[in-house]
Amino acid sequence: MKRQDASHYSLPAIMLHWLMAFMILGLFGLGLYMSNLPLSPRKLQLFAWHKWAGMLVLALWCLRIGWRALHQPPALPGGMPAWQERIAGMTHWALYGLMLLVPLSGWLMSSASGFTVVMFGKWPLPNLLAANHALGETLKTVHHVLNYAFMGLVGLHVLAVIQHQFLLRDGLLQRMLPEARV
Amino acid sequence: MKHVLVIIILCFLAPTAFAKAWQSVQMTQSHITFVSTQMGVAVPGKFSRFTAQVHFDTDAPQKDSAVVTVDTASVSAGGTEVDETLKGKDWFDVQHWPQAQFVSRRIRMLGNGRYAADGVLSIKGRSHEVEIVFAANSSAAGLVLDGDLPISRTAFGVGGGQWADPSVVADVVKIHFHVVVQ
Ligand code: HEM
Ligand code: HEM
Repeated sequence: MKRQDASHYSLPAIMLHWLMAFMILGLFGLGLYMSNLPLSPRKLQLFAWHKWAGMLVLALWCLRIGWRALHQPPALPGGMPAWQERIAGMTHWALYGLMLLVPLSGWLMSSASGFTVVMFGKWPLPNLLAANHALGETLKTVHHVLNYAFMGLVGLHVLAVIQHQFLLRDGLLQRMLPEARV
Repeated sequence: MKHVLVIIILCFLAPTAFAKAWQSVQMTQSHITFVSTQMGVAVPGKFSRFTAQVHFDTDAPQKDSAVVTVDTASVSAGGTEVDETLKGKDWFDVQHWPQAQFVSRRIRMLGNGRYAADGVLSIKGRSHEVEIVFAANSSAAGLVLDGDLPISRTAFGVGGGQWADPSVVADVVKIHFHVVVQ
């Protein structure tokens, strides 16, 4: 494994982190908003955009996990108690897990509900499951529940960053920002 | 409507003249389905109630005829909210237009067990000339007629108002029928 610059994430890791973070936060909002709309062309459009963006997150996840497997992140700032380091590590892996499972559950739900995912309305993706209404409903619940867990963890993750930034002032956030080259 | 009656009556009189004609439609084995395209995704639907009067003699198609009457309120396309919307004013407006109908004018032999039915399709009070190409195959259950009819939904005023935009729900809807006659 390549050791990264001791104090910063590599540029690809940083770009993937922020691109995916913005997409995922957008997808939380879009998902919650669109599912409560009455049936309308707008709703069908938003559902399609949600699926396309969600599938892009899945594709980016593959890149990101590949990069992560080959590049060790910088060591955590010194002075953190061991239990915090453990929780940080666990949270990060849980986030990686949910970044995979959430879009995957969406794809499975769509397949089981009989709706092929057609990227940008042009390229049909394979159906992972045969159409089965009851299974589709179950997977919808799975997608929802995984999303609430995901939102909870992202919340925890952001609170930890805030704590580092404003209470510990150890510059943790800088590690995930492009290095200012002086 | 008068010539419809004439055709129906002819259908009942015809067998005395043409012993070989197929004309007893097996409703339990026949169905009318359709595929619409929403944001590039093919979405299936069906009409569960319809009647069909068919007089079909594979050797003498010039005397053949078909009248198919669909109960528009029997439409379904994947979910109660969708079905209720389809019955509403913007789509089939089933309160005002409880029936849609196809009446053949003539049936032509195309060869290779394929035929074309020219006739008039009326939906929501709008009538257009259409050509239905279908195949006739004998099976143990009887003669199986399988045909396709792509239509422009907007030409019939189906899916108006906010739904008129063909970039969300495509204009072309493919109707398929599978009719078994004995
Ligand atoms: C990282 C990716 C994704 C995130 C963060 C996400 C998030 C969400 C959220 C927060 C909801 C609303 C849940 C609720 O109403 O309680 C939702 C609903 C939905 N998501 Fe996703 N989603 C993602 C990927 C996908 C994918 C890839 C698909 C399909 C291919 C998909 C299909 C759906 C559908 C169809 C709904 C609506 C379910 C309903 O009818 O309520 N999602 N999503
Ligand atoms: C959906 C949103 C987000 C997801 C899924 C996410 C995911 C992750 C993951 C998996 C890591 C660990 C990287 C590794 O070491 O392999 C990470 C690190 C980091 N994230 Fe996020 N993140 C999100 C949003 C945010 C936000 C909004 C912020 C800023 C407020 C942030 C700031 C950071 C920082 C500073 C690190 C580096 C931590 C360290 O140095 O160990 N993230 N993020």
